[in-house]
Amino acid sequence: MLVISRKVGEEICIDGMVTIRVLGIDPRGVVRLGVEAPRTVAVHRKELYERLRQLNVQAARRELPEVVAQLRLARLYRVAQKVKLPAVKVEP
Amino acid sequence: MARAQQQVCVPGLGVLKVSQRRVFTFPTGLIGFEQLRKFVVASSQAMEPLKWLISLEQPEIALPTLVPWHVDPSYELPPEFQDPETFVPLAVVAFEPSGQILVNLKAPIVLNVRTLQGRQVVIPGDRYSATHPLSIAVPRAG
Repeated sequence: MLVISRKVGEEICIDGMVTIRVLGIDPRGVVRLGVEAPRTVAVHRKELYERLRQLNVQAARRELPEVVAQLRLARLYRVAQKVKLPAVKVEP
Repeated sequence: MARAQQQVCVPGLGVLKVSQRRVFTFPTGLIGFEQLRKFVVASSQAMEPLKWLISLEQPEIALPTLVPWHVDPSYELPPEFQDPETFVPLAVVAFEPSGQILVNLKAPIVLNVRTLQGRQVVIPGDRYSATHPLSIAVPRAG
């Protein structure tokens, strides 16, 4: 791991496109960082990213008939408004 | 550019005819599947309200999703995504080995139906959970 020391207000630059600035450190030791990155770069807190990644991977692993059958048992609300979404029709 | 129709074979769903006007581009990919950029939403009457988010590059990657209002009728996206004519959220549905169904309300996949772009948006704060459990109707005793 590359280790860099920075003071409040100083920045590091990654690949010429991503800038991370140390905004402040409070007495509890919480460091506030400001990240500037192009829209094509996704920035997440690491532990949240890991959790979301795990949930997506877990979701992608299910077999189709099981999913449909299980969801049928769930209590869901009717959605009143029409949701306009370009979708591909699955032929029966 | 030709408005080509592409045929995609999806395990469990059969062959889908995909028009280019229904293909969503994810500029940053999907969390956990960052290498995948092109997705379609597949639906059918029989599967309602389930919609599948399917990777065109790797059609065996298909995520079950539903519109979050089925789970929380007062569900709200952050202000910049609130125009319903432009943005449609889909919440990813994950299944625990125990049978528990979890809906990710914290990080919906937000589709822009005008630009055909999508991304998974993390909603700040603690109003929504990434693992919102669905309650299951107990089958009536015979």
